[in-house]
Amino acid sequence: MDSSLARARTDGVLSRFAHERLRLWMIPVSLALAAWLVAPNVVDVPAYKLPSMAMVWEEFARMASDGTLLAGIAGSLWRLAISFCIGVGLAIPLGVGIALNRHVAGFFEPLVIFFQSIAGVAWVPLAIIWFGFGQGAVVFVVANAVFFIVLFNTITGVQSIQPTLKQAVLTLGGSNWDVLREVVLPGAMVNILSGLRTGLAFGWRALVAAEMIAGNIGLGYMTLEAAQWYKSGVIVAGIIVIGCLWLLMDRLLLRPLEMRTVERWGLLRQDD
Amino acid sequence: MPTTTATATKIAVRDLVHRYYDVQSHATTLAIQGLDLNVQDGEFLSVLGPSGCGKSTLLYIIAGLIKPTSGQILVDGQVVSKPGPDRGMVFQEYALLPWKDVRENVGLGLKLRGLNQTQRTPIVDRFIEMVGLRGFEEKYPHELSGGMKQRAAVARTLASDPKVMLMDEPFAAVDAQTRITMQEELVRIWQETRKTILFVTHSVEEAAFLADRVAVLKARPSRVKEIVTITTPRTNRRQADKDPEFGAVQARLFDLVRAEVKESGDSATGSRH
Amino acid sequence: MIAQPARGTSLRQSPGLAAAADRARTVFRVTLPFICLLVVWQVGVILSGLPEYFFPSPATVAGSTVLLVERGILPSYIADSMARFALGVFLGVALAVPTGVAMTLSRRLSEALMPIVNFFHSIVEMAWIPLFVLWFGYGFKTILLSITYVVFFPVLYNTLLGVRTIPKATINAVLVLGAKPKDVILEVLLPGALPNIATGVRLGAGYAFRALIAAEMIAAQSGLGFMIFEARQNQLTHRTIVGMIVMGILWLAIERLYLRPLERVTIERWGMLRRAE
Ligand SMILES: Nc1ncnc2c1ncn2[C@@H]1O[C@H](COP(=O)(O)OP(=O)(O)O)[C@@H](O)[C@H]1O
Ligand SMILES: [Mg+2]
Repeated sequence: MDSSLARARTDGVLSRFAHERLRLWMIPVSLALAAWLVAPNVVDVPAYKLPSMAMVWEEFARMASDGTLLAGIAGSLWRLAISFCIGVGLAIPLGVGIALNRHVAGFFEPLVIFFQSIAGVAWVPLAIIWFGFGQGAVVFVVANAVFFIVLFNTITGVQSIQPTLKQAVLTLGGSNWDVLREVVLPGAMVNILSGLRTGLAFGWRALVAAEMIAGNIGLGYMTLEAAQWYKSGVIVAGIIVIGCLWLLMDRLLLRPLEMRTVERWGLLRQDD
Repeated sequence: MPTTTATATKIAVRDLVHRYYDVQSHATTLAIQGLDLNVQDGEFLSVLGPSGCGKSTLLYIIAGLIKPTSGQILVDGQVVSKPGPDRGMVFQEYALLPWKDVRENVGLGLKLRGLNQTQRTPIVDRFIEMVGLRGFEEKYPHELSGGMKQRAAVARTLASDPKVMLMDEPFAAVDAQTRITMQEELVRIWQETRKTILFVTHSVEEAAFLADRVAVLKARPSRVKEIVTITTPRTNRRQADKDPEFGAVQARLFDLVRAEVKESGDSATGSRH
Repeated sequence: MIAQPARGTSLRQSPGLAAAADRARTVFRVTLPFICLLVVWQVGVILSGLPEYFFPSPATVAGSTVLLVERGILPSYIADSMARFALGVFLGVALAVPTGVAMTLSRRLSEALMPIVNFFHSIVEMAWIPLFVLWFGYGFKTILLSITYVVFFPVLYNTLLGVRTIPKATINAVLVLGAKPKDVILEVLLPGALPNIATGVRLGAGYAFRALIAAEMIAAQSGLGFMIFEARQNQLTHRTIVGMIVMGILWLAIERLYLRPLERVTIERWGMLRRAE
């Protein structure tokens, strides 16, 4: 391992390394695709259970060209974005407020733990009663999932700050406001970020679930609706799109954000 | 270099009592009982005592970070009850903010006082230079060694220009070689800046090397047992064997502390009140 | 260090009494917030004047709980849900751990498979439900598969992580003693990765519990998820809330009584540090 790392220093070797990697994972991916390609000819399952690649592509192209796919993606991402902002926007100030006082935090802790354990999808029926099927119910469920996770992490984050850091700012002549800005918020940041990450993961699941159960909109509804009509091509296209969207969110949004603060500040993530 | 005219009292500690209440065990600990102490202006005073005797508690109370059960702290004749920039503190655990690099940490006090970036930079650079951290301005605390962290913490306190520096075993966590260097640099900085320093330590050598006067505390509940004045020039203090007078002072300090360590060991459980 | 006023210490005189008082204090500390919540809730119902269907009162919910227990509906639904959950988690772990160990045996194999694993991991289990429904219909298999799916990935990732962090020297030491590959797996890799696997199980179970609820709403005719959704259709909102409360308590019990202790035991017994996900 060590010697191979040393060898990898030179650029030529490095790129050969990367090539080898690429070749390595090309094999199973092409195998999987090939299997999918030939499966309909080999095994005897109805097409509605195992759509061929062509069928999926056809549906994908149709939805892409008539705009339903884009509308579905945009709608789902939009609902995720608002719900996420509502959840986070409420959770961080509230969490900081609760955590600043030991007694207040002690009072709310059992409640937060309890509500966090049922946050999200369990609220779907109530959401439908309160908001009716559609946008409102979905946003409520997702915001709820995000809210309690971020709240819990914010409280833990604030409580994990070493008291001497606050004291250092006070002895330098800082006010309580300075302590909040210079110590509490940045000190809780690692936990908050990990809360945002978990919150987004749970929120995304809650979104797909809520759109299926409480929605008449979005990608989730699109795929479950397709099941009613045995349109498996739509379902598989939906599955792939949902997978790709999360992959993009995770790699483009969450990882860079977390890596930056964690690595630069040399802080380890506090496990919940 | 002894203080020649010890006149103005900078800090006066009057009949201080502090009792801790432990939420878990419901026990109360009487940490300090009836402590009186005067620190002169510009003086380097060491507070020496066994671990757990209440030295940190005393400093935290003077800093205004915890309220005493009873008694008073006067700074320049004024009663103080909350932290203020006139009393800077260097913590044993460095207490650097992990999300700020060395320059931002050192400049924190100035920033809190409302100075902008351009006003801060020359001051910050001067103190970074003074503690020997040139070239490390952009490093974050986790990238520094223990000694460097403590230098940064000292620079941070110095930069905000307090009249009094409260130092809580600042060199306890650094290696022996670095500790000696840092002690010497602290003396140099003190001679340059002429601040009043209250330096807490449990090490006899450290107290004896640094201080004009050493206040030896009794084991918990602590109060001042004896104050030993050291007149030996600091240049002669590293070789106790060559300067018999200094050797005798150090031996005296050892005796005083040893008696207290024994005391606190004997009555470890009994002194919980 | 916060200044604390001195307090009376009469409680210390009898250790048994002090322990009992401590326990009472803890119970009080935990229940007080919930009592306050119930009061606020009841007052809210009275003041808002909303219909019971829209915003049931705690009293109605309590009555509904008694009824559901008396008729045996709640116990049997809990049993159904928990059976699905336990079986799904078990299957997920049983598949993930061997896969993880196998993948670490060859660096090439794991590098080759990782992109596929990552891709399938990115597809949330909810998205599969429509396809599972086409394959297996509405019912047990669909629910089970969703849970197994969602547990699989965190356990797999943590198994990989756990095995990778075992020092090479430990493996070599066992090899020098004449161990066969099978022994290395059983004596070194599995026990060494156990704390991480336990972490993976805790994370996976958290996702699985939500997947269970969602899948039961879509694809079940029994269970807690079915109950809270069905109750809404029949305007029995109080039952929905009973179901939610039971879910919360169940999950807390699972997590605090089983998953966390499991994790703690594995970490503490081997004196290992937990490595985050
Ligand atoms: N927050 C606290 N709660 C209860 N007891 C404390 C607390 N802080 C310190 N003590 C106790 O007070 C005594 C003095 O502590 P401290 O001032 O930290 O000693 P030193 O700094 O001399 O080692 C010790 O016995 C310690 O256990
Ligand atoms: Mg101390």
